[in-house]
Amino acid sequence: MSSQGGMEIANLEVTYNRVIVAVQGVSLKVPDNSIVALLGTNGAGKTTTVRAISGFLPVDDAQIKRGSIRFAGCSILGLPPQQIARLGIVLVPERRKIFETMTIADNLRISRGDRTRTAGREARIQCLLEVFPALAKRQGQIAGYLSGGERQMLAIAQALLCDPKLLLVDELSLGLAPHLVKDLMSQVRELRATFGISILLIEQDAASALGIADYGYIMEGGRIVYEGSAEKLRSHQDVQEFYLGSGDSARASYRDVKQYRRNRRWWG
Amino acid sequence: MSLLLIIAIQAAFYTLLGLGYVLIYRATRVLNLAHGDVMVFGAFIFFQGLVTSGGSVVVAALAALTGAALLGGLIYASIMRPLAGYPVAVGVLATIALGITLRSATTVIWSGQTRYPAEHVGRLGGGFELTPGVSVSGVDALIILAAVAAILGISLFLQRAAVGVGMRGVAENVLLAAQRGINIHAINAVSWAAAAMMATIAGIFFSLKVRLGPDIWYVGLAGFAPALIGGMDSVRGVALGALIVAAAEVLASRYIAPQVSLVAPFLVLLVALWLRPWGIFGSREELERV
Amino acid sequence: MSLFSHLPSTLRTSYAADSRLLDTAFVRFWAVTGLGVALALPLILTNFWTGVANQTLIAIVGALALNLLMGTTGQISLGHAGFIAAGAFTAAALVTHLHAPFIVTLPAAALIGAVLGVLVGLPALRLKGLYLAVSTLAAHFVIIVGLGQYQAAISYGSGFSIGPPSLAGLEISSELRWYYLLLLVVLLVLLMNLNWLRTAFGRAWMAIHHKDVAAEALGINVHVYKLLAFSASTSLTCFAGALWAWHTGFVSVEAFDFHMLIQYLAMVIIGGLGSVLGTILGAIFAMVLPHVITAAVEKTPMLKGLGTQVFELQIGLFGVIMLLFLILEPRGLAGIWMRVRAYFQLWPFKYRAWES
Repeated sequence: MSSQGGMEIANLEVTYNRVIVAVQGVSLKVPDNSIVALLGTNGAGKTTTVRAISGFLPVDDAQIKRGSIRFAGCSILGLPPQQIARLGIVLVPERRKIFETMTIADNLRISRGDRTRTAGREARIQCLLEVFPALAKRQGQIAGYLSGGERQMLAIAQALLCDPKLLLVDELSLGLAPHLVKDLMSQVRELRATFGISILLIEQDAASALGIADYGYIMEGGRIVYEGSAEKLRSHQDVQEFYLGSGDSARASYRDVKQYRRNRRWWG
Repeated sequence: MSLLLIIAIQAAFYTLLGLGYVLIYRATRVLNLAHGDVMVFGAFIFFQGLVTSGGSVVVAALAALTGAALLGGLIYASIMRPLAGYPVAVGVLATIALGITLRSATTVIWSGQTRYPAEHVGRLGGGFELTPGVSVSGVDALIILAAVAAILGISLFLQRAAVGVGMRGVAENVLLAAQRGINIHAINAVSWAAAAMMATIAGIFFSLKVRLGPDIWYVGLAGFAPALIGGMDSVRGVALGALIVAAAEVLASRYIAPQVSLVAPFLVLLVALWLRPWGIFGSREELERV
Repeated sequence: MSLFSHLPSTLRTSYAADSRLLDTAFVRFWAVTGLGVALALPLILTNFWTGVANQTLIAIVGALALNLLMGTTGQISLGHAGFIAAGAFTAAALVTHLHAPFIVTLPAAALIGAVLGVLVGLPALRLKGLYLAVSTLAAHFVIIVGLGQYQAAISYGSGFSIGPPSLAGLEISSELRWYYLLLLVVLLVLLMNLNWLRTAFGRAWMAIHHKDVAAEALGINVHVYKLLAFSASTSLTCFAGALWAWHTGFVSVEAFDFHMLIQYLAMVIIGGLGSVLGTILGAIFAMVLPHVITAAVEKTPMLKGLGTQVFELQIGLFGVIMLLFLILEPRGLAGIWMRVRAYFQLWPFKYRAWES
């Protein structure tokens, strides 16, 4: 299931309505079989980057002004979303979007992956139901009535049935109780082992994400301000202070530190 | 003929038309005001087929259905697909423009004269007795059968078939469907083609029973009332909406005045919009979405 | 806001400057020139073409009414022909039963229009987009059939004749006289339209057009304003209908069919939704094109064989043109005008910093 080279974004610049630059000079790599975390607070540009990858920018009147996105060596710029999904880049959307009026079973059946692999779909559905037993119990239930955690499982399962080589997980932890997040994160880590796919985790919950990721990028104001292995990120003072919630609190104000001292540190 | 039977036949006609409106709405979220003209165009192809083949209903019907399917797909590909991102109003205006273009084409190709396809068909499948004293013609029986088959067939298709489930996905959340690798354009084209085919069947029946001419587009247009009353995104709502409108039309014609039957669908529609705009089985969110 | 309100072409430093109608030298030049041409036009046109010009002027009033609703509030109305019929029949009925003079029938039609607007709008306006359009379409059919019954009852189906109107003792019996009267009316309606957009009403309507939930949050009573817009639009439409009745001299329900609705929709679409200039251009285009086609068919022997089908061809051509505009240039002729203007303004640059 390797994609021979993974995904590479180089110098990406995305503007909304031709005026607002949301993402600038962003370069990141998701190698085969790895888990990469893309971290940052609200408005940092993470979702825009994800939209750029999955081909949804035209919906919001946004354009890629510069840069490239390559997957397995080929550029995917300008491809329609269906095609990007079929190439193997599958998005698990924010807020766990699923088909609410359809049953769990139908939600699983609806995914379409690579055309050559439709044969084994039933088998793959069974396999996934073993990974998420909570779903297996109620296949006939209308998806709209599921709880938050179950919906997230269904969303992930549905995405996996598109036979992805790269899974984009957008804000998994949003609105979920901490213990659920922990369970889901470890299940996500299992996915890499079970299915051999690479995963890009877009998260505000840096602690959970760095718990399972190999490598991480931190975005602020539309740019990547820091990157490194998960270990390196976890031990960085500023990451600890601003994203992991530790460090001493004798600072004047968030604003002072954010603007003055942090700038010195990121590039120091 | 008993009153109930008349209502049933009219309801069958409206069901076929209404299903077309609903399928198109579920696919592209637009009220296809050209549907009546599609119906007429398809019926004319049928008529042409009758004339050219020397009265063979089967050949003519096949030609009409094929032509209708192609027309539906073509309309989607050339007009509705480019207009995908625009507000609903633009789509509706586009269907109006399409309607008059189609009507004009029909008149240019076949001239505006009224035709009577029934003349070209040998025997219209005679009549047979339903119950003592109540007889129904072959054409009428066929249209009721066609409507029932259409409703059951489409419902089943949407529930079970892979393409059907995909259609339901597109109807609910087209972005998510695209993300899941569903070929939304192919599915929408199929919806449009199916809608055109059903309109053509309705048109064939009308032209055999009454007459054929570019001016009967009005009859096809009235078909959107049952769809709206039942719920623009609901397949089973169409059957109920069709029954209600047909009953109103027939009863008004019988007990008030024949001219009232012309506006009966729209009067019922206005009442329904006032009481329950999203239709009997429609989803309430539709009201906000558009 | 000006006629050319869509491009921020000049820098305004005060509210007064911003709301001036003839704000730039460019606009002033064209307004004066346009007025001059309009005044002089009948002197160079034949009587037939002056008649066409008169029909165009009436159409401009009707189209502005439609644009008021569709372009500024974003609501879609498919009942337009029905309302024009209502205005025409109001005039006809007042003349037939009460021998009312011209000057009375016009405001009467406007009043009837306002009432109709409230009647149709009240139940329909909690609906949006599609559902509102359908209500207006249904209303159209109900009005037309109702008027048809009235016509059958009173005139035995043959329609109503209205003699030439008299205004302050002067009989408006020639196309020339009609022209100047209509030109005055159009100028007044135009000023009224442009002014609307400058008032609190107009701003509220535009807010509703853009996002009515946000407008409501700002304290704008959306329902009242929607109803006002609808009412104002139908009122002006009925007014246009009355003018139509007097100018044509004959009122019969067949004239107010779908074709008329499509003509008006074409004017607004081809001209460009929301733009006053666009509506005027669209009206001129829609009224003049059929005559151009007829003339072209006369001149081309190959097409002459189509004879009676010319009418159908015209309509078909309308349809195709409308589709092309919708798909390729949704801002219509006004949009094309703006592109041309932007090109000349920006040259030798290609892009401006942002687009409105």
